[in-house]
Amino acid sequence: MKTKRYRRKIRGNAISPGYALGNAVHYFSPGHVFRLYIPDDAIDAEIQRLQLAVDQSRRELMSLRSRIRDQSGEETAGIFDAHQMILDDPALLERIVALIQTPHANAEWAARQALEELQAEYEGVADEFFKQREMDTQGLFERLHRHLTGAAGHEKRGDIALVADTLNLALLADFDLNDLRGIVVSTGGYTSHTAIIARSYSIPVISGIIHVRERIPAHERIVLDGYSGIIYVDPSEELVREFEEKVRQERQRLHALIGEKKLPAVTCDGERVILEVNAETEAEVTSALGMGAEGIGLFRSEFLYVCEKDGPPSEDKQAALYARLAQRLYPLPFTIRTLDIGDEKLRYLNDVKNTPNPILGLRGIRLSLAKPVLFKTQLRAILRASTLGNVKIVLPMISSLDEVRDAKSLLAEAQEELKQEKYAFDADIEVGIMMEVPAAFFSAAVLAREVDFLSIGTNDLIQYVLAVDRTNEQVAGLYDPLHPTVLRCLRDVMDVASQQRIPARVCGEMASDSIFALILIGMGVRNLSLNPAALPYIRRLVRSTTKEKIHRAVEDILRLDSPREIHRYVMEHLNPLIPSDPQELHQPR
Amino acid sequence: MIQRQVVILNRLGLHARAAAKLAKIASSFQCEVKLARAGRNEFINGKSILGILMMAAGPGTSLCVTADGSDESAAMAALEELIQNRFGEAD
Repeated sequence: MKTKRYRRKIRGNAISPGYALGNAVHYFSPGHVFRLYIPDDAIDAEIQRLQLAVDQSRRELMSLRSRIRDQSGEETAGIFDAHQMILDDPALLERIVALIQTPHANAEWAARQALEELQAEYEGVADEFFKQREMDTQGLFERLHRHLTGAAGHEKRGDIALVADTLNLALLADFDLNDLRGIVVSTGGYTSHTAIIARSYSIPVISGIIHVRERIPAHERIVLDGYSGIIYVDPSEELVREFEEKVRQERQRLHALIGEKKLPAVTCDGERVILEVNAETEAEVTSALGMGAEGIGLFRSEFLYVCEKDGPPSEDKQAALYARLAQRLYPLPFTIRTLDIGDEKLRYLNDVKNTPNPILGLRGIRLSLAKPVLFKTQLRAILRASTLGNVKIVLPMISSLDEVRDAKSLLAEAQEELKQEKYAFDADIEVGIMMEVPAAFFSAAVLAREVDFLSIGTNDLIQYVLAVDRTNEQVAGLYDPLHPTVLRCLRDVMDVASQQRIPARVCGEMASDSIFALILIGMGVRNLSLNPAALPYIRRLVRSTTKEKIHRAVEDILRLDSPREIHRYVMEHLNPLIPSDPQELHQPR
Repeated sequence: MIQRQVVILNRLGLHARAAAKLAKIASSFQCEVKLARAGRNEFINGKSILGILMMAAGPGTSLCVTADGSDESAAMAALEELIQNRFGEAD
């Protein structure tokens, strides 16, 4: 009889492609912490267990610190000193030990109790100004708890297959992305922020798996197929070898593709397509340059703001980063999107209120115009980095002409100030807008007259046009880039751009998907800003395409009224145009 | 024993990172270091980050610092320098 190839097969949604083999590492925030009774003769062992977890947490914080210092600088890394010292503070340890000794509590419960008490005392003395600079005892507790329960530890090295509730940035910060082979989560969609980052690091992710903690036990060996969304728990040696071979082939293919990085993206009939990438960290810019990107089409500046805990990044700090990147990219263009974030994400803005509907709230340009000091600091930093002439500004979430004019007058003010202060800057810096709010699409002709370029953000566009919250799993299926209305919006704005002779690029996730990239090129888009990992694939796609052919297909598609008919047409007529085996190119959805 | 009055000047006050720097420097000396809000007599151990955080000293807070031990003057000089340099923060 043939031996079984695996113990369990689990099907989920593939949200970042690739194959992976690894050992399951659980990463869950503790739910309810149970109080257990520790008998007299076990108290010493319980205290030792606590001490061990404290030591492990300290070591983890130290290595985290050095990694964050390399990525984001000494100042940001300093927060880990604070965590380490709180952990080492005798005032905390004595309190936890006392709770183990006298009420005979287990270490987990005692640690939570002690930290909660400290937090409460702190909130009792802190005034309003200080309350927002919390001590992050919750984060500390979670770390300690993971070590107490053995949910973290030695297996954090080597081939890690992360198993977690949901994708969040903190989770990625805790692991070395080079050791992370794959991720399995119970919730988190294709367009979630972390999924985008995982794709840019080519880490396969499978989501939508209920009871993930029970179905994939810790330490279990698993195999992930990030193309089909299938996970094999406890695979046979034969299956492991099969996947090792797939991983190897995939890597080879990628190397071959990267080898083509000097080749221009030109279709068979001579249409040149500019391929830029989206990035938000220095590391991503480096890897993009290595893959032959023709510029940064979208630099998400909010990462800088989210990393800061105590207040927005200073003008000097921003200017230094932007200038460094502009210089590395020169003469390639470097397009910085000004802060595009909801106010609810920036805790240090004092008057933050919890909005019931953040997607329609104070975000993007609205937040910037409501906080002119914050905005002007960023504009000044960008201007100071613009001396080489390759920096451009793009304004997010524009919905009216007045917002464009208000932003530009703040930019003029910033330029005037810098001139007075004898700073050098690019006086003709190009300013563009993100096309993502439906109002901007309906007024495209008006807006285009006052800006230098248009950047189409498809993720938000689709969400707003179709009224679908893409993070809500119940309606996520309605999030359809092939919806006829979405395609017509895109076509109309491309028409406006060509009439007014103003450049337009597409920088949403759509641009990184083979099928959608074809449709966009067929519509006349000549500048795509991609997820870095997609760049080599899309370059090959462009080079194997005939523009004439897809142009005709897109004209047919635009005449269809039903999403279903469009999907059928695409399957029949566009899929065959994608070169070589589809697995190589198709980015799963 | 020496005693000094200092004012917290940095924009963010004694937040977690600043408190870490202060406790680190205080711990590098032999002498006892104690801190209190000016005018109050509740001194905390300057080598304990939790103690420092518990003071919740925002910008403009006036603190009383004491150092007591063989290297007290060196310790006081280092602490004063740190506070006057706004904990080395950019703003």
